[in-house]
Amino acid sequence: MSLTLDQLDYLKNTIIEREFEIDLLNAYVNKDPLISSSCTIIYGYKSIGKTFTTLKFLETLGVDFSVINCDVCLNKLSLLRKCYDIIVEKTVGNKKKKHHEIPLINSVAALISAIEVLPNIDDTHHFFVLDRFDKCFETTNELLASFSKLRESSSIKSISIIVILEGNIPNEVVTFSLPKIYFKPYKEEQLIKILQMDELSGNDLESGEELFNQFVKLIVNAFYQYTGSDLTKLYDVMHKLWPRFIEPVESGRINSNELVKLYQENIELFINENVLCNWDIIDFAIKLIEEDTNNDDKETENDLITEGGGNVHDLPTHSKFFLIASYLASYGHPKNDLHKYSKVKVVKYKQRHSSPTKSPKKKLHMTKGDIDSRMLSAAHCDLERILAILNVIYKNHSISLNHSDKENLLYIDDEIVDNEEKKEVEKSKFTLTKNIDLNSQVATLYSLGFLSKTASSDILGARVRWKCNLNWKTAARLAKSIDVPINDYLMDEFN
Amino acid sequence: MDGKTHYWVKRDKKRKQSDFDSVFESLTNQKKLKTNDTPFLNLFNGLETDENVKFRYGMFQRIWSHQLVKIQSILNNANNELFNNLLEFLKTPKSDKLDIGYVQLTSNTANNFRILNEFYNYITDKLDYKIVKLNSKNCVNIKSALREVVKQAGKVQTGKLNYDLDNIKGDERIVVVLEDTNLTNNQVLNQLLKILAAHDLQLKVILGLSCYTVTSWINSNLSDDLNLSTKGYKFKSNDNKSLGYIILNNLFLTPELNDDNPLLIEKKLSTIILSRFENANNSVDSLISEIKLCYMICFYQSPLSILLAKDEFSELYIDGLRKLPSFKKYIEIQLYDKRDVKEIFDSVEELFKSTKLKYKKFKLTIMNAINVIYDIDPKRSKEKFELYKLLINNKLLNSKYLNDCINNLNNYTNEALSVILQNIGKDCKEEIEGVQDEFFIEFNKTLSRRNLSETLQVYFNNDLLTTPLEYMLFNEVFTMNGGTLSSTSLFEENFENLMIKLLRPNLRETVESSLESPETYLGNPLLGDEPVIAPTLSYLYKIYKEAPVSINMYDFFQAYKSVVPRVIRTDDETWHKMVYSWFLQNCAELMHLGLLQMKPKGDYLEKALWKGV
Repeated sequence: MSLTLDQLDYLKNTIIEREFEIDLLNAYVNKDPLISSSCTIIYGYKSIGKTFTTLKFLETLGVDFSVINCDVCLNKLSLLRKCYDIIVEKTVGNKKKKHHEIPLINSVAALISAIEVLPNIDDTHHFFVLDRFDKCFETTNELLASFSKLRESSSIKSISIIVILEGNIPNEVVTFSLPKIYFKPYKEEQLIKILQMDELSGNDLESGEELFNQFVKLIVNAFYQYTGSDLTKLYDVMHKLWPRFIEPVESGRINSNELVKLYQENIELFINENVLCNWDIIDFAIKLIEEDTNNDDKETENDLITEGGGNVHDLPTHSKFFLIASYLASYGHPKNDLHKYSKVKVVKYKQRHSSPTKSPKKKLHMTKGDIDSRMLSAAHCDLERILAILNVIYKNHSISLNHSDKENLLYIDDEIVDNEEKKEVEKSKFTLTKNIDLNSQVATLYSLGFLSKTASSDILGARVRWKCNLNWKTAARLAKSIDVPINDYLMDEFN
Repeated sequence: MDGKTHYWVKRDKKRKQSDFDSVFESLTNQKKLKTNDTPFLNLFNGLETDENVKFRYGMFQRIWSHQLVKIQSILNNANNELFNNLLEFLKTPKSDKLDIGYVQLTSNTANNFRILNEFYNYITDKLDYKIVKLNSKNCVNIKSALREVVKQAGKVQTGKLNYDLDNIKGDERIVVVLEDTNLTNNQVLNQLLKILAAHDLQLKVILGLSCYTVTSWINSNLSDDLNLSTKGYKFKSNDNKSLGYIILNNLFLTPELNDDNPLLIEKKLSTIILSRFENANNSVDSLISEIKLCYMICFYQSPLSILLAKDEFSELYIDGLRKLPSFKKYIEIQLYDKRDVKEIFDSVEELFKSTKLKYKKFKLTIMNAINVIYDIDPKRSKEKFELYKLLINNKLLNSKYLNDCINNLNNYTNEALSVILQNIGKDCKEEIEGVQDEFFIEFNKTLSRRNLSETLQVYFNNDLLTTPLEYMLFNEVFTMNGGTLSSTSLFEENFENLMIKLLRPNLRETVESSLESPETYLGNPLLGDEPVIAPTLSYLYKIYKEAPVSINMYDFFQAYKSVVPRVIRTDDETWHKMVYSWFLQNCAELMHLGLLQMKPKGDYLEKALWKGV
């Protein structure tokens, strides 16, 4: 038995812009298990009402159905297990469940043989709605093929399956003669119509409904390029912006008829990209204060858009130097190391060798060398190379090695002058790697996520290579905080 | 050599006496090791009475526990605000989305774990939440993460998969804490949050982030669709660095010098503690362990330390005092001034008692001076402990920094100056436990707006502040130095004492020197008198040291074969095989140590350690 005409009309009025799809559903899905298609596939882009329409339809049809969200199923096992649990619940009920021994269900065949033995299995027609079937953590395509043959391969007649997909129809079933219902993405006008059905606060205002309709038009016009027909996103944006949009009206500054004025006042809302990609992270401490004083301060949101770069000032000095060294090692080419970090001047001779005359044809193509190294991705490098670079930059730029008492003290006695000379000798032998402090710092930095290493888990092994995870902004800020002229070391004179 | 490459440590069974005793005897020239109930030894060549050893041990325990209480109370209160906020967050009813608290922790993992542990303790009796602790180790993949959640949050119901979140459906409230979010696989994290958000559970999530600002981290690490299903709040923990300074201030920069806190920090120790904290690790936990170790060393090795709290002036202790370097220096000065030295020798007891008072005054004076200097620099560019370090090292009073501070006073506006005047000396004490700081009292009297810089100059120019600590009589008793070592480094970063040497061993050097000369370990008297046979690895290491950066495998083997002594009588072929197997094993061992690596083709080896790095 399919929907009556009245029911169909009612459904089409509740769910607008989906008449054709509802008709299709009505044709394929039927209360009578013998007429109904055993496996129906529904597909289309996300958030255009596939699940909503289907569930509403099944509700109106008045059949027994259950929804399984496949996107939270870890694997096929848990998906099948959920199906089984539901069927057991329906047929056997809660009471007997405890004594029931659960068979291992790792394929559709096992599921079928497990449920075939259940009593009363063919009593009522049951629908499984497998929502977001292709978003399961494991690929489930072959599962779909087996599901589609459920009736053929078993004696069960009363179970039908509706599969909802976000992507294309999988190759495994594309040649099967299964009914497939495609949900078209909405056009802008359709979206406006749908959104206008929503009811938001503020409609009690004078001509609030008219204002809201205009607002929806503005929203869709402004954000359609980004959201496409994704209704969830549009709803989210709309709910976020509506209270702020009508704030001038509610406070009485602007009359609700003056749409243009209102739009001009709120133009910021429609061109600000933070509306779309900003996470509404609220500082809990501030939130508490706000609740106490009942003061809705809108500016907090702007405070949260802090500049990138992370908060690395808290790190100890050696870590900062190590991070800079690893940044230099990751982004600089090893062939230039000798030139940059050693006092030996081998450059001019080598330069002629290393830069072959480029043919005009080659010049047309951008090579890796033409790009600023900061824009390339970081390369893995040996720990020893980082340590060597660290050694150089630490000797050259660290405050504790380079400050002398001469500069800090007003009166200098002979001992201090003597010591300064001895210090020069000590400095030439200085190394940070003498003790394990640096190594434990490397481990800390790794655990903080500033460094990463190649997959091998043995830290001691010589094959392990490291990489710096900082972006340029952070590295520049770090370098500034410890007075290292990082730009000098990044310059590539070869290019 | 019996062909084995492993060594067993066998105790020499011939000796009847315990080995430790014999080593101890040969080291200390003592007849018999006395035992008492404490872990401390009887010092003064065993002449120290058991009673005094116990007293010494008791002093260590009392003083350390006194300091520990201070540390604990600082640590306990450090993050109260954060904990209260988190508690509020957990108490608020669940929204329709998944509530996530992003906690911005510090840049030291050890500190972060301590903060989280304190947080667990803090909330256990205040809330009936089940805490699920996740970290990167038990979140290798999404399945194990969910299994962990189910395991920690409740029982696996019969007939359910053990990673099915339906297991924990119910009224029980759960908080999932991900301790090291930065280290967790991003994909797993996103999946976990997605799944938790999709299930309708009484559940809140707390993510412990280190170092990154919350917003930037989220934008680059969480997928956009989670935005719609979660609701985030951010929390911030206390700064790491300031906490360390607070602890140092409260432990060592208090004006009083009494039985609970009788020791001053010596100049080298102050430098070591400060530079390690600032430069190398920034970890509060290791700061605490450093301080504890200093106290341990001080009371373990100095029998005179009981004089701080006990009037024990038997001949033994008087002799001990007389032998101190500072006493010798004192006598030399007296001789130079042609005074009667004999009298001084006889009156050591009185001399010691008078110096005790002098140290109390000394501490009060320098703490006051440090507070004054701290107050006249409105930028607060140096922490108090740094000022203390400079002062003790005699680098403060004639420093450009102080000079600039005083000179700048003339350039400030009237308002700024009056603020400084108001605050100056607010942490100072004129008198404590009957000891007066006359210099500060005088300074306070003459303090006025007009001649501020002159008054300061006069104030800083007093002989208590200008006398170096190491020139003061009996400073060995009243200061703590963390155990001296005879190293002559001039760089602050190279400074060493026993404490730091124990805490941070010299990794590379130790490995290299023990590979080079295994006798140091194998020739230990505990192992008996048999001649030491070096392990085969050490022969290979010696060749390795002489070899160039890239080593031909065959040459390496030939050199090795010629060096290894042939102690076993076998035919050539067996010997060759034996040496070859040793060679391969030793090469693998060097690779495992990270000293060698194989070149891609396999015919050459490459040194993995660079020279001089």
